[in-house]
Amino acid sequence: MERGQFWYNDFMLAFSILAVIGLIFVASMIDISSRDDDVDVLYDEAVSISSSLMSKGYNPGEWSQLDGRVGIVEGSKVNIENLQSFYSLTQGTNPEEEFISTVKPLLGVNNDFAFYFEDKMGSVVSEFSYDFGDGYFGHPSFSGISSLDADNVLFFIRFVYLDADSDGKGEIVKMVVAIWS
Amino acid sequence: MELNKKGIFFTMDAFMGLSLFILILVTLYIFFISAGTLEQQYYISEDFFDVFSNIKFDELDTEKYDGVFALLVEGKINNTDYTLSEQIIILSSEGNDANASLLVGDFTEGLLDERFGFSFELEDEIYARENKKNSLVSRGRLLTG
Repeated sequence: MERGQFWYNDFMLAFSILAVIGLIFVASMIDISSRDDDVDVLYDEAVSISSSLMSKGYNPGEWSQLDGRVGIVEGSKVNIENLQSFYSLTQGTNPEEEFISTVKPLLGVNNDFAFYFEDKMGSVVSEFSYDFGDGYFGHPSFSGISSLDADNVLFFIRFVYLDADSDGKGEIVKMVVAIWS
Repeated sequence: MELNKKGIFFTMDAFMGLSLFILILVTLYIFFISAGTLEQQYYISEDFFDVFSNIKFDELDTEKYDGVFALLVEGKINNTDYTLSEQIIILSSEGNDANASLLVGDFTEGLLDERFGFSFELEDEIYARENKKNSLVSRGRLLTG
């Protein structure tokens, strides 16, 4: 065969390169698809958490017994008493365990989450009429975005009126729900 | 039978070319043909409507709202028992669109990320913060003032 259409060695080399590229491509597509599914789940749970928090809530005194419904906002205003009831759910002897056994089932979510209030200057609101530490609620070890070490993180924003020091004067703030996996 | 020496295409080259073409098409489909959800924008709009409708002026800490403080000092806002939306409507109906815009800006600036554009309309546009529009969510409510 004087004028061949291809040479066997060249063909095998080209086919091998194509096969490697194809395998890398398929692996990437599977990884992206998997991450998309994870992000979709996070997004749905973030919306669910924010909707629960934005509700009036019911029976806050029994939340520790997994009774009632979590909610901290009524008429666009944050109810500081309900917020204190929620905060106290993870202030026992084992906050991490309390978060897993009480907070997550109350809100019906599987992923870890936290939320905080941010004012128009971009500062986290931490001065309340109750002692809420640094102003972070939810997962006990969350202390800001920099403290997160997760594959996927998602933030969902709502807007509420917050009278943090309960003096009758407040401001419109951003309630940021952070959820991660 | 003598084979034609001038072939139109080479079979294996065509096969490889076709495979590559299909791979590129699939990649384009996955990466570019997707629509993002607009739930965040929806909730932002609804939350602002709720806050403007539920919160009264005398509940605001005026130290944190320069525009509100200025209008109070100038006497442009006389009745602090009105809700935020009622006061915006009153100012607009008096022809003070600039002051109505000042109020909306004072309430929203610093809260919305830069990636979001935002506008507030009462028949005409009162306030707008422009941004590149990839998608648009429009919400409307019947307000009184």
